[in-house]
Amino acid sequence: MASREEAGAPKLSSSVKLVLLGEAAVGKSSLVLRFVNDDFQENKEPTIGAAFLTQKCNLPTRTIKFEIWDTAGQERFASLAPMYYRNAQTALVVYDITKPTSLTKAKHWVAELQRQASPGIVIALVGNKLDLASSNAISANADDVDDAENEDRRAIPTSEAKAYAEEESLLFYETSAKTGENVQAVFEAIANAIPESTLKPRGGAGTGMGGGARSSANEGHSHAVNMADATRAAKEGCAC
Amino acid sequence: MSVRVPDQQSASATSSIRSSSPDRPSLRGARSFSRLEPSTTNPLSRLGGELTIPDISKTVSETPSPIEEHDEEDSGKEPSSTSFPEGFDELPIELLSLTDRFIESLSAKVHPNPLSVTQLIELFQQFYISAFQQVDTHVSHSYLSLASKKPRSSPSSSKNPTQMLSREEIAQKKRDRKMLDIKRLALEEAVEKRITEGVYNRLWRHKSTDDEARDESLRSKMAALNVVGVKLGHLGVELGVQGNVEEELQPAVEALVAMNDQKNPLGKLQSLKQAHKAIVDWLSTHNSSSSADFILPTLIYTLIISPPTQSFNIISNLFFIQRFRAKKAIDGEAAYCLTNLEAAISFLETVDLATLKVEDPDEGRPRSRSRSPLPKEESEAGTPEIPWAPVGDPLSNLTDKLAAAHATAEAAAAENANKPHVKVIGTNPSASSSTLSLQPPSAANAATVGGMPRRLSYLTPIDIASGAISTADQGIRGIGSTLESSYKFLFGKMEKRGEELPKTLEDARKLVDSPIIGSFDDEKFAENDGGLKRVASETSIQSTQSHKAEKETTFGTPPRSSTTPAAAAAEKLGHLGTSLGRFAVRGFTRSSTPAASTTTLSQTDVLTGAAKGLGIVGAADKGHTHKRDDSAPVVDLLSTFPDLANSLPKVKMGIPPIARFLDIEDPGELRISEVGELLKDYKRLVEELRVRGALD
Repeated sequence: MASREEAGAPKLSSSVKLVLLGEAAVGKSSLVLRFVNDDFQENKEPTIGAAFLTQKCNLPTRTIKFEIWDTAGQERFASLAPMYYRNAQTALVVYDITKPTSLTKAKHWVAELQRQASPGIVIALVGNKLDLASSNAISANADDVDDAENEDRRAIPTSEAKAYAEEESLLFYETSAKTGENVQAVFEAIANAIPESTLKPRGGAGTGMGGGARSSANEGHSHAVNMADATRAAKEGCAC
Repeated sequence: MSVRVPDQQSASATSSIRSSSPDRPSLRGARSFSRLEPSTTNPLSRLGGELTIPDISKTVSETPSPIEEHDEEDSGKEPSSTSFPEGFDELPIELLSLTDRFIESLSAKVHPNPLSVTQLIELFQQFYISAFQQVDTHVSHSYLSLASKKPRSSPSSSKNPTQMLSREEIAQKKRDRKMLDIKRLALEEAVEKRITEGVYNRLWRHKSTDDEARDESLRSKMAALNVVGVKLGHLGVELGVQGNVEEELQPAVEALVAMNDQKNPLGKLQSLKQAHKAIVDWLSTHNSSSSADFILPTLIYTLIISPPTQSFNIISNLFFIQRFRAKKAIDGEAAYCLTNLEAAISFLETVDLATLKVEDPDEGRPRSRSRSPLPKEESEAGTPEIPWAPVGDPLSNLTDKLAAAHATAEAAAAENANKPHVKVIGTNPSASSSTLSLQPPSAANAATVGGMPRRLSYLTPIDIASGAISTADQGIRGIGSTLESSYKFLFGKMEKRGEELPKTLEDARKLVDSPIIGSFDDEKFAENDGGLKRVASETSIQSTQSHKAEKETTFGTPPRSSTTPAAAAAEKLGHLGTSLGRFAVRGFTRSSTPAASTTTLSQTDVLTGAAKGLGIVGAADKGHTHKRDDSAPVVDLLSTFPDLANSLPKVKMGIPPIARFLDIEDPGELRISEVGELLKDYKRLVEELRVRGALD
């Protein structure tokens, strides 16, 4: 912020509420912790642990401060989710690529969000635990690929989830919270995909209030982002 | 006259809260010019200020120039170490008078009718917006004068003894801006605090709301869940650590309790955050993740184990914050904490024990009271007593007394009530006590609607806490026996017909399923039931439940007012029932309370009450005179305690789906006017399914 102000760059800066949905134990909070901690200078001690975290994502054209709302993934709490995703501009729906039921649940969340969350909510579908898929070993440690013990536990083919995501116009990534693979990319893609018109001045997330002066002033610049753009943006690096 | 933001907050509380919003400093720095904008645009930075304020007096003396290490705009820690001089939150005269005028205007009798809480909220929020604009103006003027002169010469900053004169000018300006921003926040908090505390008694549980009743209902339910033995495990948290969880969570409980002592939204909010902090701390000592998968269940559990006393009013406190905290100040972590609390309350208000699987055998106390074992217990009708009465419960005496009363009453009533029904009454109330916990939050209204006194405290001179426990206890017994009695009634009838009592769950199901049920005057129920058609053809089991419910009501009545005729009580219950089924449950749970918690109540009284109740029940049973009253509670029982329905899985659907809609093939054939009907019927069907446990 300091540099932005001093430089006087008219860069869009906004606070964005992101809600995390997904079955329990698919790694929702690990994913976020990886995102938040990967590039982490300050000694943040969030009062409420990993359940509410904030992280900034500095992209060339905008600075997005994510306010990340975790939700309890247990089925018995599913009916409480609407309280958490109301006013969310974006949702990260996480499943576990080794667990087919988790994708089913994720689809339920997507359907529910599309039905009753804020209109225009940006939804990202994320298959976590990529590290458990052996094909992934090519990038991680190619030598071990043929090792018998390096068992491929993937149960959901990338193509299947991807096809679904395209059908529903979702951002889609497979990630590993464990290795950090693709984690930054997800958040950068989301940061890019948020329509400018819905960006509120900092601190506006979740309150539904706040003058739109800043964002409307910038409305001229369209930042419509498709998945390709998002990927490109990801390469630019998130200076979070 | 000055107004201080509270500094009674404990040091740990404030620091934990402060450290939670890493972005605050950057907001403060970068957005300092936004002061002239509508104040609603900058809610985050407000948080920083509010959190810092309480430390003023502690830190100012030892840290003359605390800001110097915090030039880095993004330092998350900054707010916690930034301090400002005393008097920073002193309202300038114009704001003071503005605030006081507002308070006065609230008292002025200019409104033809008393304001509803919604209107009141509107007034408050509007006032906050305009007042905060004034604060902005005030602070901006201060900044302008700072910018043009030396900081010390500014009138407003002259109150500010920070010793920053030796700083370079740019750094100085930056700090000035920060200071002023802090000041702005301090002033905003001071405004909010002054107003809310000024009229706290009128805002708290505003007359137009049912906060108090909802709290009372929730308290009973939480206490019941506690009695039933709900543990963290039931809520989805497996810690693998054996420890005295309840004790270890006391800091969180205390923080929640402390919300009640704070008289302004910020103070309450800080207590709530402190509770979250305590929960996270506790989780971290058990090496658990502090993700929402753990925090929410732990918060729920914390609520369950919190003291069920009159001073634990979590719903009222939540509403107070939501209503009277300036909207823009609810964001970030504060918003999350509030949502968590809201979710936890909502969960508790709607949860049933099937969801919690409390009957899991591997958990601590016996939980035979879940309803799936219900028919089975039925078959063991001889089983003497309350297997689940909490050991060492100070009230167990009372419980026994009451149990004895039940038994005696049975004998007494045997004379004038029909036989099978009587049988029902005396015996073990344990059957499905779990269901009791399911009282809906809104049930509280019932008490009011029906004209039932809600404030038990009037009648309970004994220790409130144990009273409340006993309330729950009694409630469980009440409903348990209600449900059980219905079975007994049914089976009693069977017996009359020379049939065998069911010995197993299967048997019970067969019985329930069998057409015999039809002989129980279903139609009569249907005719009389006031508008609650759904019940119409539900089995007569339900009707018996309601009889029992009436009985319970009467039962509890004597201590409150021994002159109240039992019939009147039953009538009241009827009102409750028709007004909204769910309330009824609340109604009789409540009414059973005095018996439980009034130590002065002699056993004789209980007996009298019981006998009266039995009389009524008997009469109703014979003549079906109270049928109308019955139906609503029935609906309530079933929808509130789906487990009951589970144990009766084959009961037919109350009303068949509307045939016309089934025949339609093209949506185009639907008329607009039918949509409402379709929706209504759809909802009804879904509800039926849900009640039967066919839905998640």
